[in-house]
Amino acid sequence: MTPPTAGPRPADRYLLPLSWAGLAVGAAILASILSGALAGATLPVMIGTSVTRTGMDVAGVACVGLTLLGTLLPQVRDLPGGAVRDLNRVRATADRWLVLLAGGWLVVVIVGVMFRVASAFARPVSELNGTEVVAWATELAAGRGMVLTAGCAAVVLGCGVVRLYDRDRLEVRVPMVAALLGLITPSVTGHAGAAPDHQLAIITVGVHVGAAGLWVGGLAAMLVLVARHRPLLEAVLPRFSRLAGGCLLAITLTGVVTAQLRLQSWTALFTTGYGWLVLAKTGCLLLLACLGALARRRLATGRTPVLRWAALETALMAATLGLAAALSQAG
Amino acid sequence: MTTGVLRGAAVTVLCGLALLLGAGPALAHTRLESSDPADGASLSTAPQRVSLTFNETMQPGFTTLTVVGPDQARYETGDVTANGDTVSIAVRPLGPAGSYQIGYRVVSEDGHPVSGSIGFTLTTAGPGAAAAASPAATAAPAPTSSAPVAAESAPAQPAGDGGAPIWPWIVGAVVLVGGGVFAALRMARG
Repeated sequence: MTPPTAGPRPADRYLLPLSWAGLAVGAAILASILSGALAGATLPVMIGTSVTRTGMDVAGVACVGLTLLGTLLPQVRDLPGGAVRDLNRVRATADRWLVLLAGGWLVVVIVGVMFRVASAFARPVSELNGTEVVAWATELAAGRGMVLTAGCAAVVLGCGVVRLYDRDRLEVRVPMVAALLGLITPSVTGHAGAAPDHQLAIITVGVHVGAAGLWVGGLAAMLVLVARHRPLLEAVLPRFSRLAGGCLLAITLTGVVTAQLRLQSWTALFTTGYGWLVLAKTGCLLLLACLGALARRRLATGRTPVLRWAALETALMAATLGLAAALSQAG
Repeated sequence: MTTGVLRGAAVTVLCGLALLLGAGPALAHTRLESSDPADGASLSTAPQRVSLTFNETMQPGFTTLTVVGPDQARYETGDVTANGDTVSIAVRPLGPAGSYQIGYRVVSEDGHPVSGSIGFTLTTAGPGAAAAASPAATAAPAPTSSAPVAAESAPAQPAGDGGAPIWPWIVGAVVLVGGGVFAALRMARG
């Protein structure tokens, strides 16, 4: 007999996010090594670059998810009396996590800049000086993107601290927009910036990454923070489900457009590394869509294992994310 | 328990599959489009400059070019100049006939280093042979011309010599952010 609110156990609340982050980082490192994308860099720089790159994505997605959750949570007046205390507690926890994760994001971006500069100049991290870092951060599109991401992470951090003290002073939408912007920037200044059809590539990649961030982050935040509170979950899940459907559609459409812009022919789908990546991601997306549909069906019939499926879904998403991070940036 | 193991195995297999499928030759960012002299060319007169053209705008500060002769001596001299998508460097009078390697290491707009080399053959020995034989009499003492180092391992910028290391500042910034977050969380709870 399962209890009606079969959310993650207390220990799982920390284990789950940690294992998702580990999965994403592990996938990224493996993909970098296997594809030889960073060949030529020393091992510490290579590992440092992949870890910070994925760490940035994980922290950014988590910030997007937490702030999204803030907008999805119901108003006090829509809730039965007993759930209001839970709502306030969830909001407070979300704000604390937001401050922690935004701080982590900022730190990872700063450390990531060091590793990326070291890899660009082929020098050990300990010997880099200010001139080189400034040159990298101002002259290259990637450098300017990293600076912008650092700024966005700082804004999210500031908003989080303000909300920590007085939640009503600042709408949660403000840090959400900043977090989305910070998440999208590195991918937009990556390969897309050099693609032949510049504008279209940038817009589609931006939408692609933003939608993926909302979907994955929202699901993860919901699982970790809301799953234990049944009345809250019942209010949040339908709204999130609608959003997830829209995100899935956006991810598919923009993915197809991006692949079509990059791949020269149909045979390139099977002969180039990028083509293989497109196929792999398509497979993951199909699987995720199936899991999502299954979860939605189970939700409709009121069966609880929906949360376990969602945890699996998030794990798969995390791995896909790590893969995408490694290959979009390094590949 | 069994379902947990199965689920774990399924995720692992899926991730492995995705990795294997996704890994492969990286999609090129910066590509060498053409060069002067061309790769594999045979020249009877030595070029004054070598220039390489890439598929995107190049930054001179991030580019290293080397010309290594059959005698393993370095023949490039002066600074790299960039003009749009072309980078070039002046060459000292070349030495013995034989194959010369032009090594390059450039950084693409998305921050990734790309390196490689092309070769050309000099069919008639140039006047630089004597100069190269006695390194003390080298006509143009380029700052990096003493050792025959491949471009891949050469520092990208001689300007990197000046200035204190920046890592203490980075560590400071990280500690500052970490301390700020810790203090904010503690004070909000208190």
